[in-house]
Amino acid sequence: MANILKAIKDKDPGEKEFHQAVQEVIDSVQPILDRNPEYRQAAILERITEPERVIMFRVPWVDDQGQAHLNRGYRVQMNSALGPYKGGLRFHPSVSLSIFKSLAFEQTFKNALTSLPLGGGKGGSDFQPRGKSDAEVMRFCQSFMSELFRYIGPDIDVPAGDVGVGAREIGYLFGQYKRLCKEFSGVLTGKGINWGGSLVRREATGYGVGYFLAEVLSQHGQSIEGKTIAISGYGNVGTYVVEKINELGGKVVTIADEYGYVCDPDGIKGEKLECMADLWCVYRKSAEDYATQFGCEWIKDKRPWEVPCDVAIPTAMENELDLNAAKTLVSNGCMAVVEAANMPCTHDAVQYFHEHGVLFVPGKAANAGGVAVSGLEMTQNSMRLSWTREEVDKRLKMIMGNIHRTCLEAAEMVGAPGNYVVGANVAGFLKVADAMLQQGLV
Amino acid sequence: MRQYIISNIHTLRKWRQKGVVAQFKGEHFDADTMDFVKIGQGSIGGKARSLAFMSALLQEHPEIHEKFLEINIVIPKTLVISTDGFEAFVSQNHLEHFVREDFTDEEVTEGFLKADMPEWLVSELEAYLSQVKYPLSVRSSSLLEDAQFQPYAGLYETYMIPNNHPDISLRLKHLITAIKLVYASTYYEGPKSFTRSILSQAQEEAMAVIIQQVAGEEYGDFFYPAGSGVAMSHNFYPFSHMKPEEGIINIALGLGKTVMEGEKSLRFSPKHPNILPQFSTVDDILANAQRFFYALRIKGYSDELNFGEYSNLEKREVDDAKDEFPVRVFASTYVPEEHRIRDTSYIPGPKILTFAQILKYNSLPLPQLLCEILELGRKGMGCPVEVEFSINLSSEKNGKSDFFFLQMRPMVAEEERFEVQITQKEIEKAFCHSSQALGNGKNEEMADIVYVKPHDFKPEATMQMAEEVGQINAALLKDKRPYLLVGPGRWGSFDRWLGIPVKWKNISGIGAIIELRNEKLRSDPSQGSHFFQNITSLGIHYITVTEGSGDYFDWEWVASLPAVQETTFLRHVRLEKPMILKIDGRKSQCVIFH
Repeated sequence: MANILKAIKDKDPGEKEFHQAVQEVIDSVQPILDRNPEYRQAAILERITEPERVIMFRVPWVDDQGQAHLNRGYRVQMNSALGPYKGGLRFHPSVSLSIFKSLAFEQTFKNALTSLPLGGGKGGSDFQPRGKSDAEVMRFCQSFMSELFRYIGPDIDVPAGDVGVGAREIGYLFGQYKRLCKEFSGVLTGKGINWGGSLVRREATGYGVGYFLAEVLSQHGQSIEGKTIAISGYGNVGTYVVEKINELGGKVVTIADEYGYVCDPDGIKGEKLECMADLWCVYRKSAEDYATQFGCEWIKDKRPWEVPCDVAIPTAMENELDLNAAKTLVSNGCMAVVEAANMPCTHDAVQYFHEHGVLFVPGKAANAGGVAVSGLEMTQNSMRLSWTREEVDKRLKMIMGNIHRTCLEAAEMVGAPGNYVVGANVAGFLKVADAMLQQGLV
Repeated sequence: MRQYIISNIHTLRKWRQKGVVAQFKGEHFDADTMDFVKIGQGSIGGKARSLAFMSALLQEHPEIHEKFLEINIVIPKTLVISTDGFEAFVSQNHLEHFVREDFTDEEVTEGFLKADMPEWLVSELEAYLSQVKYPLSVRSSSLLEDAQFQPYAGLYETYMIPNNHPDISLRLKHLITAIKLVYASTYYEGPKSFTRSILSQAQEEAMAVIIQQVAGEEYGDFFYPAGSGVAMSHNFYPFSHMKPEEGIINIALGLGKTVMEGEKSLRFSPKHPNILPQFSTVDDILANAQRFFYALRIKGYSDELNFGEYSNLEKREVDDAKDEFPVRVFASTYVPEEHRIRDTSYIPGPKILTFAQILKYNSLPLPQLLCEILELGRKGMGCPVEVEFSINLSSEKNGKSDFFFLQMRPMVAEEERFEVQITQKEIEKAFCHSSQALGNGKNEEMADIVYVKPHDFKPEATMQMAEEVGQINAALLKDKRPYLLVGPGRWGSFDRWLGIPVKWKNISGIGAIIELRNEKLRSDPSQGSHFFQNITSLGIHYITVTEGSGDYFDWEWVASLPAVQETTFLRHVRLEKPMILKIDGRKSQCVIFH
């Protein structure tokens, strides 16, 4: 394995971000590679770390003053063993090929975990939308797509938004693709709802976390019904986690921000949930406003993990739940921790949960709802249908159930039954590796 | 024919009165035609003089009115009580002792409110109010202000009164109370010590008072202008295509207190109204859009008006006024399902103030008008200027909107106060030099430097670095020690690979920040765009150093200083005396030396 990493480093010595991403995957799949000589024979690891295709192109555009500018466009088509390349476009001045390769590599496994027919890719440009007028952004997007359109398509590569690429940019990119290709197809996801976008996109990650939690508890003969749950953030993810948990009979008693947390023992429901939904997502207000409005206790400079709960769901930021918090949760009888943000639990906290029999679900499995609804948008586009909210939600539930089952099966396979971390790390890789094996040396 | 002649005579009288400060005489006063009058023979103070100057300037430049036919460019109707009024009031009531002895502001207020206004002044004011029934602002026009050193937010209070009660005696009472409070503010501790610092000795200050029509319209129980703001000839934080000399505008819905107090308002370049760095993404817009505004309550107020903290003003939520005309015009709508902002207020969804109608769609040529006004001011005063304004929107199709010219003062004083000359000698002895710095002025308050150790920097460890910065910041903030923060890449980047992802609270105690571009992180300079709102409103110096060009930071020297604290990635050093940081905002040049 060390040889493979060395070869990658020797080949592209400057790509530190990519090296690190590869290192992390190699570490987690080592046991599988040791047990499956066919992967070695077919050079799966060498091939999976080499993009199928990298497209780099110049993107000239003209600003409002008539001055020409030049940026560089990228699309890393990492792996299509499971389906068309799928991954976001990022517009940010500091991007590089190394960053796009690492992101595309990680995206491949993230997509695979959903069990949807999605490959992995990533792309974008070193363009900075900040400080540009709408017209300048539009001209840039049109120029970017004027080259990219040759390499993408609804059955080839379906980009989405990412940093610096929101609804506005997706609209401009889609418009130019449609003009150049003379076709209205699902070539991008994240589209406007009245022109091919999917419902439940905003709610997807939060709802997905709720469904995953229900699966985890059900696996252990329990349900969300009657459970007390602590969460941290109250943005899009937190809001819809609460909505889904309420629907499934649970009670969420905390929300937090960087300055403290609110404890609402009666649960965040009804009018209070409506207020919470707008609090950050629209008005960027502090969680303290919730406490003031509804007469709840505001605990300054503390995290919500000190509140006794059955389940904890960190939804805010990286490393927000550390070893001390983990110890408090365990001593208060917390039975499950589900990550809704990206890596909110520190490494030692995760270890502590495992040592003390707390069910722990990593973010890469629990927060896959967003990717899942992107996949559902593609499906609706190819069927020329727009599903109702209920239909999308039903399928999201099904996908989260699949992810849960996939994780458990993969964990079992590598001798770590019930370990969702191992399962999530391995499952995506296994799906991609197996498909590559079966498709021969391509 | 009769009506035609009357109308023309009326217009002619109004035109003749423009630019003229007429003497107020109760029996001859015509509120309709007389825009600018004064009571008394004394001085009218600096502010009132500048109003008179603006009035004359507008009269002398009819072309500006012709160019913007859809806008009435006016000075609000103004009455000035000259310094005679103040002198009579103080001497009649024997209030002189307040200037010589130490009294609290509350004691001064109490003493002034108990005192009687001279009879002659009361009768003039009564005659004035018999014709004037619109909301009024009452503020000082001090002689001291001639010096033009007046801080931005002002030393003296401004009071607003609804002046719409059917009982004239009550309106008169409100007006007199407001005038007494303005008079009292002359003897408050702040202005007194300011006077001492300027004049070296305590001196009695004579005060004129400006009573002025409040620009605005009635919306339900409230009265406010659609927008208020400040235009400045020089922009010390140019971004993108902007040039410093093109100026900068701050605008907000409602009364000007929002801008004056530095609350959330919209900052834009009048030459490039489309370029709004703080409104680049939907998240930026939601985070930075104005959420509150100030309005004057004109219905349901108590007879004893509240002259307290907000001086009869109410702080309202923009969302509560979503059906009122200015919000309808200036707001966009957030569409949560698509995380998109639509530039219309006529669809369902939360209303977000973007001013898109004037900045993007030119429904009112305000940016162009402000360019002209700044130019006119610059020519008139012979130096860069700062202009306060308000606007009222016409709700009628093809109707005229109003632009109220509220105040103009030269930026010369500011430039003198902050004028920065960087000498060759200073460049030679500087440990840091940059040709890409934002801000202007001199900072001699920082003795602490917190820097990311160049050899220990790892792009994969930026999260940890952010935490370490936060910890050191908390300690320095507690000790009230502003510091210089130095590190590679884009401070505040939310992508941890692109720079150190600090949040504002992690660096809230900084005095200045250096963004290094070097081999490890050679991204385009962010110019503090992640913290643009904070940097511009707090006047933080933001310096970009591109190593390998003419810019430099002396690593050897800083490494030779003993460490106060050293963490895995950071080093905190302290100088014996504060360092000197100078930024010449006109050239974007910065030096830091000790």
